[in-house]
Amino acid sequence: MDRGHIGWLLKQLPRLVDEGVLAADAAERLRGHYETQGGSVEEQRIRRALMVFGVLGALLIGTGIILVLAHNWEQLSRGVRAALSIGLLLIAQLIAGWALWKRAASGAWRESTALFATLSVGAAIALISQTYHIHGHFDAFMLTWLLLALPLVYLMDSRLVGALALVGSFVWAVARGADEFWYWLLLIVLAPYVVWRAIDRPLPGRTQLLLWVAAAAIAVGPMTAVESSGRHDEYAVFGVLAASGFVLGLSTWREGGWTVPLMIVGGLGVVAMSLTLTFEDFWQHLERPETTPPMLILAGILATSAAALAVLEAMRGDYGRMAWRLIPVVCLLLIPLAGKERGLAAAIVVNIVVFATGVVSLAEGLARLDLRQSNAGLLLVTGVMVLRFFDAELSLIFRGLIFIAVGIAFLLVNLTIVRRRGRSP
Amino acid sequence: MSRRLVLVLFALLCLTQLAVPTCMIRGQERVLREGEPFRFRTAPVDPYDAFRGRYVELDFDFSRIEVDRDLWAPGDVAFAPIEVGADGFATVRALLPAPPPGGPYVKLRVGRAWGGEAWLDLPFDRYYMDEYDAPEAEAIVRERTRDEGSDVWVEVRVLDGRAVIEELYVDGRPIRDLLTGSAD
Repeated sequence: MDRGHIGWLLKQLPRLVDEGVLAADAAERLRGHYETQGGSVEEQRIRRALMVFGVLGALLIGTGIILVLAHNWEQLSRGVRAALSIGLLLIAQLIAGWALWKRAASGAWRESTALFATLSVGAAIALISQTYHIHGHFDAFMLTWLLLALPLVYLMDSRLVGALALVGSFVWAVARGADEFWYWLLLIVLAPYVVWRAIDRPLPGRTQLLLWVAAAAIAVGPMTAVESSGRHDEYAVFGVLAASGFVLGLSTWREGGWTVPLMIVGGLGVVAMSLTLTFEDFWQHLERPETTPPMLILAGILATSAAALAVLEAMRGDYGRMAWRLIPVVCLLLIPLAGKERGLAAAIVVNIVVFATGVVSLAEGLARLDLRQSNAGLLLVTGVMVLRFFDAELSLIFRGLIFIAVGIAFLLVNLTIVRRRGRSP
Repeated sequence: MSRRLVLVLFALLCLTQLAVPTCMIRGQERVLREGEPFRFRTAPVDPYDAFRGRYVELDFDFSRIEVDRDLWAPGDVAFAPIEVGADGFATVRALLPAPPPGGPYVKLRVGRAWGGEAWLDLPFDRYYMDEYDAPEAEAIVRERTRDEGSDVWVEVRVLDGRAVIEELYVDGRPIRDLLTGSAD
């Protein structure tokens, strides 16, 4: 089918849907099919270039306008500035509206005009704040902007505005401080869109970007609950650990595809935070609060969800994966041991749990010829070993030999898997 | 979702997006038009806002006041009655949990509260200026207040607790005139 025919078909789709000849989701599938798969390799390449340049152009123009407006043109009267901010927004809306009406099938058009409209909303509010010297808190400005731009994600089916909204929500919640509820509500509002787009096949680059950002937004989410007073900040480690475990848990549903960003972001979060908790120092200096900080309640909910997902893995017989998802719950249960006297005991338990998870994961990865899992296991094992050998007062030669041994282990494991894969039918 | 519904919802969203800045403009213009003018003595410094550009941050000696211990927490909304002294300058001395029945007041938030003192988050503590002018304005003001003991004040219009800055003055001249004067 040549481009002319495809273009004709795409133009016919809305009419066919309106007249009831074709179901809306069927039309959407057809559009998706010809948009992402249709055409020659050359055409696909052109489409991708259009997307990249369109989006970059919108981004540059939008941020450029914000910067030019921030110059603060004092020669302009209040009325002119007001007209400018409203006019700019109106133009951006008209372009986006036109794209939605006439070029709804084109991802490049939708994404770039939605992005431009989003930036224009921010620019308009900022220009008015500046004109009237509204002192307005940064977080209030961010929230207004977010709420006004968020519907564009759904209405214009824009994954980039979605990613931007996730980043914006995080920035807003951090600026606000001690937020343990609203940030998650914003994530929940965006979640259906992310899920809806995640199950697309194939996954275009912009959906993958959205998934990476979404995974990171959940994993670092508990940081928004850090109290502005700075008290009990160290509990953020438990929060991020639990959220990472939860993200990792979400990747349980499927192998590959949309779960890859979840698995990698969640996995890295669990590695980094659980290794932090292997330090004796951390536990000895951890103050036990009189009342439970919101951060711990949040961590508790997320860790319990991760543990629930661990049960699914256990039912499949994936004990390595199960162990990864249980680390947050185990660490949270050790909090009563925090303090000078029993901190060491907590640290020892975490060391053992993390090391054991690594070994089980490694063994299972080997048995199933799963490179990703065996490497993840090795990462934990090496992590614990390397950290402990920095801790302990051991000779340089001994430490050096351990490093070499761990390195050889990495290579041998990979070699074994590659060989077995080669032999298996 | 049918295409028509999407377009209708998009149009509604556009109207909402336009309504927010429009309401902001109307609200501010109304305070400037109908509000009662007050002068507050101030000392400016010059920071930067990534989105809104340069501004002169205004510091007031009443931005920290004594309050009843345990009555206020950070983030609380408070109402501050405006008192005008014999010299014609306005100030704020107390915080109330509700608008005072008579007389002008400013609605604000408590920034910090500790040890019987509250740091006020005043709604008129920023004066936006041209990116080149703001640092210059700050320098001029600092020099003048140090050498000549100049009077720097901000004129604010207040209506129903809402405050909007009208102009920043140094010795009775708007700051912008002063900048043009220095350029000569």
